[in-house]
This record gives sequence, structure tokens and C-alpha cells, in this order.
Amino acid sequence: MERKLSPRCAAVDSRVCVSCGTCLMVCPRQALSVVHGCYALVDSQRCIGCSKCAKVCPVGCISVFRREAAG
Amino acid sequence: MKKHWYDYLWIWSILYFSLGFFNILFAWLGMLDFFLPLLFAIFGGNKFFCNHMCGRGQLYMKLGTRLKWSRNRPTPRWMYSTWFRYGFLVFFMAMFGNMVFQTYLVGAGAASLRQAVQLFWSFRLPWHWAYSAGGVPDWVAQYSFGFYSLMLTSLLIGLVLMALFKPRSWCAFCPMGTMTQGMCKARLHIKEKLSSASQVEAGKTE
Repeated sequence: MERKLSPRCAAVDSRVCVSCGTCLMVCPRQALSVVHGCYALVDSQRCIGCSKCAKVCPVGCISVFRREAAG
Repeated sequence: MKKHWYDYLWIWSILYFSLGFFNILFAWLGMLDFFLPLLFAIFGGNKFFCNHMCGRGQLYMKLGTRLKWSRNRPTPRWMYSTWFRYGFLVFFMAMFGNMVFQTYLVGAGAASLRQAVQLFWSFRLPWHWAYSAGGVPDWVAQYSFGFYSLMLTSLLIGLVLMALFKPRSWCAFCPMGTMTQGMCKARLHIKEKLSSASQVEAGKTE
């Protein structure tokens, strides 16, 4: 059975990310990981779009978008 | 969320600065914060230290979010621009090199031990109560004063940034963070080059 996804999801701008891992500390679903120490990546299947990561990101590289808008 | 032992390293950060207030030789323990991130980056190709073990970052989060000491405003863009991040890294390493040179001068007998903590690389604070002469060679004590100065200066810069901007705004240009991210990127780049070269090689032999 396919799991229903939340209407919102976070996305990371990997060019700006400093891979500090602050987002990992606050994510309630462990939906974020830091890839090879280079940038954070969101697991869109796990993300519930709560914006907690976007609020604490020191460089503001995380944005939350509506899944329908992204297509 | 499951808690790990390393989620409590913010206590270590408080302990470190408290111990250095009473005995400056404890400043040497701060070398762990220098070497561990480098070891993780070089051998593991990751930023596990920054991501999970940085006591200072955890402390900023506790103070900034739990105690609400942070205004939580966006960090100015220039603070996380590439030129500023790498520029600050170069400046920080130059100051570190200068501190090591001072230690060498004291060790060689060309300079005398200065029992003071230098804040923001400019202001000298008396700190003589934290060291009684004669226990260890002078250069060991000089390095402790120098290293503690560096650690305290960066802690204070981070605290000011925490109050003004996001709790972990310091991470935007933390020299250790910049250096280890650079190492991880270089490591990944080399790895990708090698794997694509080996793929081409394998294609030729087929």
C-alpha cells in the first residue's frame, strides 16, 4: 500500500549548504542526512514539511515547498 | 528521538571553559576539537564531528532555542559567502600559526611566558591565577594560554552571532567546518575521478 505523503516537503540548496548538520538535530523524522560531508540531503519520502530545519539553518539554504506545485 | 551519548557534549563545552578558568593546562584538551574533525574528514570523508559531536554547536542550540537567547534572524549573506569563509579560515590559521610561533619562542628561551588570555587577538586579560609556575615547561603553559585564548575568542564570537542571528550562525564560517567540508569535497572529487578513470579503463579492456 502506498503511504500518503505530506503536502509539503523541504529541499536543500546544496551549493550554499555548509554541511553543519544543524538540520539533523531538529528533524523529527530523521529525514535529513549529510552526503559525504559535502551537503545536506532531504529524503522526500520521510519529510513531513514541518519547516523545523529551515528555521534553524544558519545559512538559510533550506526551503519548504508544496509537492503539488513542484509537480 | 533516540538520544546518544554525543548529544550531551554541550556539557563538555561548558566544562572545558570552566576547567580552563581554574587551571589553564586543561586548554590542551581542546586539541580534541581540532584533531577529531580532521580525522573524520580525512579517514571517513564525513563531517560526523560537526554534525553530531560539536559541543559548542550543541550549546548554541540549547541557549538559542531552549532558552530563546537568539533573535533567530537570517545570517547576513556575506558571512557564508565562499570568499569570507575561506578568508576567515586563512586568518584563523595565521593566528594559530602565530600562537605556535610564540610557543616556540618561549620554548627556545627567546621570550618569557605571558600568563594572560588574549581576547579577539587584541585585548589582554589577566589569567595568572590559572597557572602556578614550575609545574610544567614554560612552553606547555604558553601554548595553553594561547590555545585557550583562541577557543574563548571563537566561543564569544559565536555567542554574539547566536544572539543576533540564528543559534548556530557561527557554523556558517567556522574555520574547522570550512576546512573539513573542503576536505570532504576534495576527497569526493578525487574518488569520482578515480572511479570514472577505472570505468574508462574497464571499457577499453572489454
